[in-house]
Amino acid sequence: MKNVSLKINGKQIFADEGTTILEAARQSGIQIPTLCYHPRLRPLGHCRLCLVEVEGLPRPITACDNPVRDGMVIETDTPLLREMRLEILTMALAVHPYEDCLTCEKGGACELQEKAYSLQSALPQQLEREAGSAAVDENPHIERDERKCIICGRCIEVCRSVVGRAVFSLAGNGINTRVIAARDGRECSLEEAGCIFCGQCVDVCPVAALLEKGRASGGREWEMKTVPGVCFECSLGCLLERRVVGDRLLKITVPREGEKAAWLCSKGKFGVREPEAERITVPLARENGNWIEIDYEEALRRTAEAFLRIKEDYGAGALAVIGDGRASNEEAYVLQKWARGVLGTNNIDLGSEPAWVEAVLAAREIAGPRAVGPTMAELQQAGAILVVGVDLAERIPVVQMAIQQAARFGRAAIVRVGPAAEDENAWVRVCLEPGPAGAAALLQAIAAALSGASGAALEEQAAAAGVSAEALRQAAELLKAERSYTVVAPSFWEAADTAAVQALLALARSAGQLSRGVRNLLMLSAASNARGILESGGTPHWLPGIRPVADAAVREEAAAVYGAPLPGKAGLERQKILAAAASGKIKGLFACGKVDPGASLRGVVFLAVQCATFDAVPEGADVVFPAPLPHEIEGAYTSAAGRIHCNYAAAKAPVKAGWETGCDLAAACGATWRFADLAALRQEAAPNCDCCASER
Amino acid sequence: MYEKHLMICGATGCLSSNSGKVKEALEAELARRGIKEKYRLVMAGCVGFCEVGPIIVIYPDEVFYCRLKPGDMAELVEKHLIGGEVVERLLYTSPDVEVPGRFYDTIPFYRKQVFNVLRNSGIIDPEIIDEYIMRGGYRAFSRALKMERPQICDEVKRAGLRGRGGAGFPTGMKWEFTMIAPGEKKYVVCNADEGDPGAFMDRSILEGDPHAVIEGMLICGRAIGADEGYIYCRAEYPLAIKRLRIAIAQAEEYGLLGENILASGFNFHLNIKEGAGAFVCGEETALLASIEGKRGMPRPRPPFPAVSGLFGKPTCINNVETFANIPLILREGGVEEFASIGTESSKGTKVFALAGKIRNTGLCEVPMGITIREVIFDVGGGVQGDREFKAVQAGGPSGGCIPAELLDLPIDYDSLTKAGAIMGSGGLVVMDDRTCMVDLARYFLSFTQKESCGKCIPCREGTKRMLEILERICDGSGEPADLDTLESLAFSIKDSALCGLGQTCPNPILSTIRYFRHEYEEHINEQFCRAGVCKALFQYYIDPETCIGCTRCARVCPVSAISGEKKEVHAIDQSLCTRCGSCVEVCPKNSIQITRVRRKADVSS
Amino acid sequence: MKAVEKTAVLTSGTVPKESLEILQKYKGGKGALIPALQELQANFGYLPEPVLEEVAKHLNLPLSKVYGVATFYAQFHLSPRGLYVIRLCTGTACHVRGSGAIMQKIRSELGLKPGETTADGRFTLEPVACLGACGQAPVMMVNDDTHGRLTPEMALSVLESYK
Repeated sequence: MKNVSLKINGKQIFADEGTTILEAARQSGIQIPTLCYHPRLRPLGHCRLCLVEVEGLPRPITACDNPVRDGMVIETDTPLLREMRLEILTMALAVHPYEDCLTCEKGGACELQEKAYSLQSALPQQLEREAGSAAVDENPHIERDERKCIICGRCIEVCRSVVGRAVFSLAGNGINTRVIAARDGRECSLEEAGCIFCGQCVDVCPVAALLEKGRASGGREWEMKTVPGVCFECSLGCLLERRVVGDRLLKITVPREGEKAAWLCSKGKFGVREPEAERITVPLARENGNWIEIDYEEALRRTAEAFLRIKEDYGAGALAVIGDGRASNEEAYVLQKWARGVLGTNNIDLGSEPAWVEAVLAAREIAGPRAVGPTMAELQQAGAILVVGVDLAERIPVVQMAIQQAARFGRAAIVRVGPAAEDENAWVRVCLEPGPAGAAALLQAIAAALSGASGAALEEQAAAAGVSAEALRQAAELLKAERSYTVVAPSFWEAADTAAVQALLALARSAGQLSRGVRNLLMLSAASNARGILESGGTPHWLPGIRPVADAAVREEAAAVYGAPLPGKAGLERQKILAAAASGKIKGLFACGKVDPGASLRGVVFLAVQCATFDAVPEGADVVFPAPLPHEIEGAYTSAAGRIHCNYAAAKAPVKAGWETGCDLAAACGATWRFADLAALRQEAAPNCDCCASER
Repeated sequence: MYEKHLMICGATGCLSSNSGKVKEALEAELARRGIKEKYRLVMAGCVGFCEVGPIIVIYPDEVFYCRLKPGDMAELVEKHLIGGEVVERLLYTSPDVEVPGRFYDTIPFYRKQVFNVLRNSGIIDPEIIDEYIMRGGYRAFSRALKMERPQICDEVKRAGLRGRGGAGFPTGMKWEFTMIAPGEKKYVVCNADEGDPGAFMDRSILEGDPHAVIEGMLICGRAIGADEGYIYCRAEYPLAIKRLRIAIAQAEEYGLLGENILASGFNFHLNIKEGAGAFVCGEETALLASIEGKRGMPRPRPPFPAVSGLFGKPTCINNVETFANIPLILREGGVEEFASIGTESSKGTKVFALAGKIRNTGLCEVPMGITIREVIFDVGGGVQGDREFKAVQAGGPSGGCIPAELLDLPIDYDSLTKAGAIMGSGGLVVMDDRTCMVDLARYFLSFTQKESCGKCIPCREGTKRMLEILERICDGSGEPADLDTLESLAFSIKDSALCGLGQTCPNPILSTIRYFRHEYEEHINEQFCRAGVCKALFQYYIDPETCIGCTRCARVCPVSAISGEKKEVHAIDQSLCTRCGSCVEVCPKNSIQITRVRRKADVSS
Repeated sequence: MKAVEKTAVLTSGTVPKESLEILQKYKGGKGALIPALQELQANFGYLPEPVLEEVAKHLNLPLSKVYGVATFYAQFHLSPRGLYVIRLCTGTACHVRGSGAIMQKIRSELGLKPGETTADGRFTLEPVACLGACGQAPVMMVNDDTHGRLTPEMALSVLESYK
């Protein structure tokens, strides 16, 4: 509701109460120069460039941190302000080595440079100050050059209030004020100061004081092409933007637009930029213990020949297709079509935990197929968050950041199931450690407390769960808050049985987190695209659109599309496939991506894999198909919350796309179908699962 | 029963002129004679006249002894205490009095002073609450307990009290804002972080009359509805902190602090926080950050502390002197009495610290509206050594200089601001013809630059830029364009910096350029520093007319640049002279004079 | 004097027991960081690294914040100080009455820059903004003793008396 009326530069403007002058002006198309302001951060008020004159006030005030008030009369561009801004900017330039602009990576995207241009600043003589004398080269991700730092404060702010780490702080006084990383009372490396290399500071740095490493002379910002994408380093599925020059990926950032709380972690920001291991670009075959390069056609022929022979000799049940959870929705669709319709087996599991599948399906049953889980922005506004599982910080860092922010800067009360890490103690309100009876008993007990159990009944539950009744009561009380959420970390699914899954859902229901249309439940699998794979048919018991394989009518319907009858025999899940591969029951195996390092594939007669780099190739592979890197893939991915995002190829892959290899394998094995392009693939899949079709 | 009370000034000024040793000697003398129990010795608060310390005032005789040395004690005991005879030799003597001044009323320094805030200082033992109570202490507070809250704020408003710490915001309004701010929990904070160099009145008040401040805070707490207070005191003031601790403990013991005070249902707890040495913490938002345990960095206002202050709660911050005025206003009839003193816009008295090249250094309390001339010449006794008055610096690093032509300016908030200075906390530093105004501006800038918290660009980098220019001018490499650059920078910083420190730091530059532009121009265009301060811009020479050849200068010269036979005129070798000024200090005839630097070209021609 | 006598160089990893006792008092208190640092410094004469680490742990603060606060305030010292701390006032009143010359003299005599400690660990030179004894300008403090109305020569003889 626009309920505040004010005048800016003579123009009548209406704004919401609580809007800052800067926001109100920008909403009305009036530009006020800023330097330290960043739309994703709390206003800092450090640079003073956004000063505006307000009628009735003795001196100009900053637009970034002053809210609009009814009847304000504001001027943003008077001679006085222009002169003052120029003066301030000249001061900022006086501690910035602008002679480096000619060779600076940030040239063209540097906010200081941009301001100097737009205000037509003169070049001042440099002021002497204490600052590091050279760029610091101490870690593989972030390059720091303090000489370029203009002490805007953004990195300090983002690290404190978004990442929750406080790696940076101000030190010194006056002109010798510096932004440093410190630990043990001493200046130190980022790593020693507790940096997790999420790169948020790099993204907000207006100059080149913080920069992605490895960009040197790769190209200037304006030469870079921006390609939207999605991160599939974990199952959260953050949106990102890739910047490339030619086919070289130079940096990854959070999308400029988009939800305010979208941040990246180290894996998203830096993890997939430059593969460290050697890239595979042509198919390989093992001959006499050595790798030799072979034709793509030859690789297809060898694989098809071996698989068809095994099928003939041992039946289709001796064949299986597995994955590491990173297949795109389209790839999953093609591979399952190949496995079911051509190889004739339901032994396909591209990666997800059975307990997770069970939980997701049950939640879907209750909330409906369209209900989606919380965004990070919603989590930050939470009233309470129950965190289950122990590996959130390590595997899904962005969710950990959001929860921490919600606890430290928002109103969220955090209830933890499982031991809290040392640094979590500061903000976890109630921590419940499961007793010998395991997580299921504890979740049941919390659910009981939530549904009003008290007295002896609660004591009994508490005793069974190995916690105190008081702690249960407390936890239940907190979880009754409005906007209550549950976040389940991947570690939970490893040990969870049906009872634990049931307890989890019962708890979510009684906390009001799960009901028709409401799914305030974020269940995170260890498999990055678990959700998309499930919906695209990449798990043994479910066809695309989560239709049961066991249902003969469903199979018939699919057979009409696939042009071949579908096997009715239940397939094996991933862990069972691996076990069967070890024991020799599975003789032909296709692995899409990495295979668990611990798995023994001794019993497999023919092992074909598809990997992007050598380090992912398992021992005993017979044929290796190359795979594209994440920034070379076009395909859809479904986030844990149930949102579908498309990843676009930022660079041309030197190899075939995953879905193409799938089609070619199917064709080599005798299939009569193939997709000319992704559009055709998506069109076929669409009636049953919109997961390949478009972004929702 | 004591026969006499001996009040020994135990404030820092007198302590640094050895009043501690004087007291020891006095005690030893009394003990030696076995008459110790007949006399009460009190280390009292500041009596203001630091120049003539150490000071002992003897009651009921009303005798003011000054410039005491430990060796004087035997005579004082013998003659005065035993013999009942005033020791003339130890009374106040000065060219400005014909007969030695015996008590306050006959000493010119005190003649124009009005003791309100300093009413108890030097008269009571600051470590004994009963003495404060006996002088009417805590009566205003018990009156306030019976009043309605708005009524208290209203009295403070009607009295016209304005904040004594700097900008002079009306205190009653500040109280009212905090009173009406929504919130259960509120705080009262006393700013005792007297960081302005050249000001020490808050220190003296805390050392001499701590209960006045506590009572002021109690009344404020009652008025705004706060139950907790903090006194943020500089750690450089250990004695003030010690006396505050004693005072708080005694007030608690007497039920004047704590729960259900005087059975009124009003609760108030008082804490002391020691400041950790940062000038910027005098700025209220930085001070609050510091109490919260953070880097003392200012934050933008609004929200004002009255709405969201300490720990995010409504907070009323006033400085020491402001609180010390409160008990006077809140007593019966106090409003009228307070408002009867002063000018239209500035009521009451103001305590000033007189320092620099002034004859009577010390602390004085004068009515608002008195002229600067009266303060400096009547109270302060004029310039030290009868040199020429050049200017007085008021308000510390945020203030400005007032030149001789404005000496008749009446002192109030608005006239000082108009003249380019500020009331500030009340430090007056007098400059004579040997003070270089460019160097003074440079001095203040180097101070603010070091104290800048580094958060905003104008203060962090602008002060450095201005300092650089000033250093260049003092080195003799200034350029004519520098003055314009300085002025334009100064105006920009004034309007754009984040906090009070940054917004006011250009004042010393602007006011010196305004009144002493010719000195700047002389430095830049003629490479001459007439005050003999900027070493590259003058030379010493020995005036042959007055030199008596005493050889003192030659003996102290660290680089042996002065030569000359005994009883003959001496000369300085300019190639050796480092212009350290040692010779000037020792010359009995003022023969060492300043001249322009002679260029090589001049010499050859 | 009391403060500096206890000065001991602590090596990383050894956290004196006193510091833990001091910190216990401040645990959970609001605005406890500065008082805790003040008391620890009074105890050790300066703030040794391992102690700062303990402070962060006990008060549940990021180390960078503890460091930021410790470096912001002039009062805190991260390295050991001399037996006698010379606090020379550089306030306005002292400046116009010649504290600059005294500073020069002390610096050249002791061979110190502001903030440094003599090699024998006897003196630390510390300029301070204002000691509030402007009436006696120029002033310096040596530990807790104040000395006023100094000239460069007098300042040296004062220091002589502490040798």
